[in-house]
Amino acid sequence: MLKIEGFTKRYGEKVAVNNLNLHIAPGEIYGFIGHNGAGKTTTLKACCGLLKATEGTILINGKSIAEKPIACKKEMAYIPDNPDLYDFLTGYDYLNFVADVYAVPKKERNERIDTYGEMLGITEALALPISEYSHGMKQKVAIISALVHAPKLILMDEPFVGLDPSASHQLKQLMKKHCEEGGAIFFSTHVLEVAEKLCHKVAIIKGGNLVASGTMDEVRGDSSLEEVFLELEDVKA
Amino acid sequence: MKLLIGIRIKAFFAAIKKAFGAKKGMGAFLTVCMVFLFITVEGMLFGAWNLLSTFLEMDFAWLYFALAGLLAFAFGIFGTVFTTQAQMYQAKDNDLLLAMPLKPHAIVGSRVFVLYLLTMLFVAVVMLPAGLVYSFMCGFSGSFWLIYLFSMIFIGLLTQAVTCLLGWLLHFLLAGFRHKAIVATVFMTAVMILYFIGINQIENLMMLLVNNGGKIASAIQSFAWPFYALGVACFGDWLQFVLLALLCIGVFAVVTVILNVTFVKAMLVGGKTKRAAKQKRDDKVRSAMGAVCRKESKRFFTSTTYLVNIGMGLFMIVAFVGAGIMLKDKLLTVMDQMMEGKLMKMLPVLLTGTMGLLASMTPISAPSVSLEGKHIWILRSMPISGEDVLKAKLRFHCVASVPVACVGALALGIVYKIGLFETVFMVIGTAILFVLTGVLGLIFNMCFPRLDWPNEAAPCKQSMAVFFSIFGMMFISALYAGLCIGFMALFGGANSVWAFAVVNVLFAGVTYLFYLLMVKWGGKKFEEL
Repeated sequence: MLKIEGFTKRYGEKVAVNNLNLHIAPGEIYGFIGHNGAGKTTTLKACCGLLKATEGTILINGKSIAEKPIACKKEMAYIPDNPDLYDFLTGYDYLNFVADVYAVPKKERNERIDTYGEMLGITEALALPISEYSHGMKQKVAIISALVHAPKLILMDEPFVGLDPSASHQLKQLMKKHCEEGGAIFFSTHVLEVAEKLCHKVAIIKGGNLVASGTMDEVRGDSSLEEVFLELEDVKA
Repeated sequence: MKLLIGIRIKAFFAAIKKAFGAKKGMGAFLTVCMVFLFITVEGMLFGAWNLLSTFLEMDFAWLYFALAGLLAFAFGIFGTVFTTQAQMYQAKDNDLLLAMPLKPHAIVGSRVFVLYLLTMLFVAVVMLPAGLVYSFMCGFSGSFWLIYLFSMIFIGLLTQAVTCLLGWLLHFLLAGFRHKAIVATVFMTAVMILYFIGINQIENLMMLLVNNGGKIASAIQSFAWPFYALGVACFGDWLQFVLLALLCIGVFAVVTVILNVTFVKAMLVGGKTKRAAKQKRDDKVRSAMGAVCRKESKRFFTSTTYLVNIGMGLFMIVAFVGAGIMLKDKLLTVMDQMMEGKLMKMLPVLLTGTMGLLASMTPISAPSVSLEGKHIWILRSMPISGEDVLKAKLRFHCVASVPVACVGALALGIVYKIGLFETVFMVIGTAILFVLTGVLGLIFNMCFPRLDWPNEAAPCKQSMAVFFSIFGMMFISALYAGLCIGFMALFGGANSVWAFAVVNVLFAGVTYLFYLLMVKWGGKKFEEL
């Protein structure tokens, strides 16, 4: 579903991500962890075409995001770490805007908006302007907007930040359901317990370099993910 | 407060540095443009003061400086009232600063200080030429300049106090309206119409001033005492100078205290705590470009800054057409005298040229890419090409402006009994000029995109894209009218229809070429933002 091969991103002299190789298959929830500034957001942004790779290729379902960006973007959704949505639109307006761009038929979009709105407990607020929303409410709308066009691949940057416990639980259920139906999710998080419970595979990045990757059991072995992460980060637990 | 002032000044200089140092060569070009603009304005002011210097030889010589103070006061208020309202109450960091262990007076003080520097710039632009003209005519004197420079500082304080008070009132007034963008635009349009009438009548006003100096002097003495005090202080009346200083400092202090005391309350009134009404669910299905176009429309009609600064041309079109219809006979008589009987032949060209000038005041598309700001990730991560985004933005520009302008042109054509073909070409010419404004606006915005703005005023009021769109379209409108007149002369002046047709075809071709540039080059550039 998502193949990252030799991805390198440089900003002038600074190397943000160095020769990253990852493969996310359909049905997988792939966690991406690392300290602040490790290169997680850069990688996610490059995967959805917001940044251009200095070197390497990123393939979405076999298509290069650099060569066929529109075709790739049709098959995926991106939720940034800080969902800055159009404040001058209402929640419904925003979700309809996204559905229009992805050409989602009226019946499907209304069903999905209603279903996910109820699940995340935001239906009531969708008729209000987004400028009235809290961070968590914006995050919920961003999640619905990612699901409204039923993408195959979802890229999420810290998706649990700002969500209330109930919405957080619902999001985990939605993520699992999405993968059971053959979709794939690649997401970054700092909440290691969530990654440990939710992910099939995990990758740890440090200073732009991949330091560990594989199935959860392969990476953590007999320890917890937190212990492995701290060890790899050279921090004494 | 010192730290906050430092941060604001640094932000101001960083913005200037960014605008002027964006690309090699561009900084120098912009500097030349700014210097040209400065010289033009100062040249006009030197001319005006030279004319008004006749007062210096009359019994009420003080009126010369009183008028300098009055004009600086009006110029300062007009130039900074909306900036004051935006900087004081819409600054993004207000919540952050109020959450810090800072007293409101530190926040208010730092903002007022920086606004005062801006006001002083306006005051200096008007008053310095007046002082220099006086010195050239009556000789340089150290004591005069000492009093005069201090008087400028005091007039700046008075102007800033009134501006702050107006900004404060405007903030509370707008907070009560749901459609504040439209209310503010109507208010600003009325102010602009008065301003343009004033500018249009500047020569008559000057003559009126010179001829009625005595009456005006007595009116100022009675009803605008601070300016009388300024006038007589400049001739060495120290008592009036001290009284002026006390008044200006006093008024400024009272206003600052009002702002300090009400700042927190004003922030709460500012909208965020007021629950907006729920809106009807609109589930109409649109194309991708239709969706972007609707999004643009929602932004335009809900943003006070965008609508007031960029959309005012729409209201001006209505005002222009309305005035043109109501004052038809008077205008025809005056213009016919000016054009020695050739009016009817020139009228379609003049009207289309004027519609072009109004198009320059409606550069809706010019800040539209920059306004994406922190939201740029939304369009960039979606399956819509840069080409289509720009086409959708242009579509909104055209939908919002072309029908109003064309109906206006048609109405003028009918009311002024212009021939059928001339009217048709007038409408087509108007449409072409408005579309060209949209296309050029987007090209300029792709040349100077600015996504990291602190508030919407930056891309709408202080961006190169808007600046070049306005002045570029002014030049193009003049070129359009000039070419029409040129072709009319070339065709023997017998028929203006052919001249109109040729120029319209020429401009339609140029517009199409720019459109291709916008779509191909601009679209690619958008995808790299």
